Amino acid sequence: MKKILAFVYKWLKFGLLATKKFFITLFKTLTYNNKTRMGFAILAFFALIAIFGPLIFPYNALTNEVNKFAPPSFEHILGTDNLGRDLFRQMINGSRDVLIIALFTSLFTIIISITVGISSGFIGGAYDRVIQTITNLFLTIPSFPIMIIMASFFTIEDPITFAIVLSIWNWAGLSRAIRSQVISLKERDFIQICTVMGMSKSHIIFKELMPNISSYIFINFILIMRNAITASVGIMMLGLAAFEPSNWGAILLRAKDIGALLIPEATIFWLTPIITIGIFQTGSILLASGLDEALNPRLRKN
Amino acid sequence: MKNSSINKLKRILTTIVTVVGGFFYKTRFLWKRIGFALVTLFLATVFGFFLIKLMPGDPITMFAKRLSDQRRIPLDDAYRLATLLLNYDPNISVWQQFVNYTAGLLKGDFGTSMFRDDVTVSLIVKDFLPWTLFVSSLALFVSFIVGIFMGGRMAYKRHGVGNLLSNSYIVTSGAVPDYLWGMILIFIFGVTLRWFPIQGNYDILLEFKGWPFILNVLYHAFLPIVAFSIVQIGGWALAMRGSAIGVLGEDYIYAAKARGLSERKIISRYLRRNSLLPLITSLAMSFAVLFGGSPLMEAIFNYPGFGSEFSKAIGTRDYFLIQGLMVFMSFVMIIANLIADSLYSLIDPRVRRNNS
Amino acid sequence: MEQTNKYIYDKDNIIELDNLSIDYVMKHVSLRANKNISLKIKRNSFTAFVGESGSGKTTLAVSFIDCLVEPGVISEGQVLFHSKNGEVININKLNDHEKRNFRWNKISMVFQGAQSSLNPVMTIYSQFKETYVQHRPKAKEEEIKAKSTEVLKIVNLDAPRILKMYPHELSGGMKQRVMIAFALILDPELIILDEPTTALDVITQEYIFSILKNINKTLGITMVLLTHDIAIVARYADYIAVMYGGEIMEYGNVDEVFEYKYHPYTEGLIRATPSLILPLDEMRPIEGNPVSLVDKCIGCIFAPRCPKKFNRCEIEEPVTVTVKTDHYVKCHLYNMEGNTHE
Repeated sequence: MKKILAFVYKWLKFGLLATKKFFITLFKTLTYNNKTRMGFAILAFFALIAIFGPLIFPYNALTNEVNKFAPPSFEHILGTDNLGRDLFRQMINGSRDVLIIALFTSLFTIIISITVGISSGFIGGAYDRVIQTITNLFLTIPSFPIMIIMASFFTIEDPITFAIVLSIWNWAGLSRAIRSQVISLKERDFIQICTVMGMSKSHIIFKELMPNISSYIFINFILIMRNAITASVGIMMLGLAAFEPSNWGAILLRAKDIGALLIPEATIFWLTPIITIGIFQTGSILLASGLDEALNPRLRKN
Repeated sequence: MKNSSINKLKRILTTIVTVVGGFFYKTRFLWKRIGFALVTLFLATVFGFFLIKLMPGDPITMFAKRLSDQRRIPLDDAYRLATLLLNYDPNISVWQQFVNYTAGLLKGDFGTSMFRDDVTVSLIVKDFLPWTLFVSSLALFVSFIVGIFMGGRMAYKRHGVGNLLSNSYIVTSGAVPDYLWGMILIFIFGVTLRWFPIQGNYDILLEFKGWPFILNVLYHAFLPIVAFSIVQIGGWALAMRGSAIGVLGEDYIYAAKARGLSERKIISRYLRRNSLLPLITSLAMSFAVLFGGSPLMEAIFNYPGFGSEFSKAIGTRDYFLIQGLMVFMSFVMIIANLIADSLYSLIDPRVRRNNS
Repeated sequence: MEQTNKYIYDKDNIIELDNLSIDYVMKHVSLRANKNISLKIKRNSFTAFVGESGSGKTTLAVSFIDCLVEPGVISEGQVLFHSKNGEVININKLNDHEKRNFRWNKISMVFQGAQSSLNPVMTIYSQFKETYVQHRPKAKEEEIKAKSTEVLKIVNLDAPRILKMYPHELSGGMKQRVMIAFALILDPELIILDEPTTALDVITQEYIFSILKNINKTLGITMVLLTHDIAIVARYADYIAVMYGGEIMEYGNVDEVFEYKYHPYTEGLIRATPSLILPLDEMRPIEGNPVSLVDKCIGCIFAPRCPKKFNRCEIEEPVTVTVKTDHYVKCHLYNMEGNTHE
């Protein structure tokens, strides 16, 4: 029992250190890399909106059928939706859930991937082979249909559950990449020297292995957020996770169901979530590829 | 006399064993992969089998009730009929259930619908999968070709207007998911400009064969294909660019230049061939993924394909159909992956000879 | 430096380097890889350029075929090639098409690390044929096959077997010999050999060099060898140019240079090599650190590490002085009168 606690404690300590290192690297690259700067700015903007937005622009869910699809005005900056509710405030309100889903999916996926990948690569042997066969299964069975099945059978009531559902089938690819990194690192001299010097296994894992793959993991963290948004919006649009109507995906679901594409006044209604999603994704891509450029010298333009 | 004929027999046997054994040895990489695929297939079967048990409710009883109402037979008989039709009997041992299930799969029975009579997975596959594959593979083909050219050019000419435009395209196209591009395309080209139809796979008034039909099908498939391609082109361009940049850094490119070979030759024989090799595997794998269907895009375009049938099954909680479709998709993907994997070993001369 | 359009033909020397300087120009700094090199390489000779890694040997050699790696440029001077047919060619002044014709036809090259100099997805024969056809578009199949077989025979390889193979199927030594054969395929006048045997064992090394020496003697092809291994140079080369920090410290006949060791760096190099005759503690490394090619140098570039330096060495750059026929040294020790001629 004590061993498990010690392990978890080391994990948390490492997590904190890693996050700190991540932000330091991030801010360093912010100074000279344009992409990172823009990407970070966009994501930070969304984060701020998600945290403070609903406080500044509270959302009133009262419906007002008479006022549906009103054009943008001073009172309703983006107009209203099909039930007369303010679109702008809905978007702000929904951003919170969207970001939570993205963040937690990423977090869960990475935790699972790291655990599976590092243990599999490090321990090796029969354990490794079994895990790899299971991973293979998770990789070959198409993920989106499975997520749809899971979404329909575990009623999704809150963003965290949604995040869990999304991450269950998402970890396979990353864990395999981590495993191959671990294996190639294991072969390298300095790990063998550590073993010869008698350093404990956990020391080897945390102090030597992890820093080498941490940049890779950070970049993947952002990329998984991006995939999570695409998947979550998709699942919502199929009507399988409609717990919060102001969620961007839910807005698009309504738009699809009422045939908003055919209603000219509703153009802003369905276009807004798409553009917002687009901007957020662009931010993630820019940040991820900017970080990749900064940490991976081969891509740098001389 | 007897000795020499025994010797002859021995020699013939040895030759046969050597030749056959040699063949198996040379293609051993193939057998290993096939073995692995079989294991995965088995695991997928197990997974599919347990899928039913994970779903809430008691599907057999529901089905039985419906049957008994429909055919006016007593509930017990209906129940037995249900277990036969669905190849699922919760009352026998789990092991026996599994054996029955696997036997059914091997016979080609992936499952039947609980709510629609005579609708089996095989029927759905036959009627709907071709439409999905038609759209997805055309999109894959188009985006691969365009993406490869874009990526190759980006790697060779690292600066310039073309590069800037390509980069911007990649970022923008990747930012919006493909099904949302579908919505945008429908709005611009379907609703506003009215250039293309906004739903369906063909005009039902047309006869089911001949050139007008084919053209009509292509007409309806155009927007979905473009929607798919928008995002995928970016992916291929990036992959090709990455591969090509790696190749450009190799010594043999420099050596080719030192031999006075023309730029055109270097690009086509040295750059292109070597950069494309790793991408061929990705292409084959992507093709395998197509079998997973695209329920979202089909929902938006109201395109009757495999994905939309899957969504329908989910919507009606048609458990056995869902299970069947899921297992079918998994099987196909595993096999397609196997083919893709083996394909690479065949094309790359380096891998062909010393493989393990 | 004035550029005259009419160059004077030199029948004794095949390459003429005229106050050549090559820089690598980058965003914030510029690296001087070669500085004011003036040298003539004798026709049909086996000339070696010796120096540590980073001394500028490869940069100098690839300037002969205008294949400088980005961002290298010739900032001063010129490279002249005196072809045996009486032409004088300045490769930098040629247009793209002429440059491509010149490469491999007049000067070919055997690269360091032949392991990755061949296209992995083409057979040996198809690569030979490709280069052959590029330069001689009208060539017939039999001609190409015959020539390929001939060059492979020179390097003692079994042509029918090798031509069908892919590069990864050959061993290191075989690949290197294929590259040498490849270099011969258009009957060039000069072959540049960039550390051709670094990755190989000593026995294969011997074997390959004996082949190279043979080619030099029987086919009359000038060999320019770039290496850091002076043992090889002592055994096979006719002339040696000692390079340090992008400059030529000494040039001359191999026997003379090894005997007289005029330049302190030459002496240091030879002293640093273990000898079969002298006791081991006579072996001395050269003190100091490698030079920086970015900072501007005042005085002699070798001065910081020179055991024989004196005041003038750190203030004034030495001038190249002729000490014997065809034997030059760039050192103040041999220019005590303060002459400024070259």
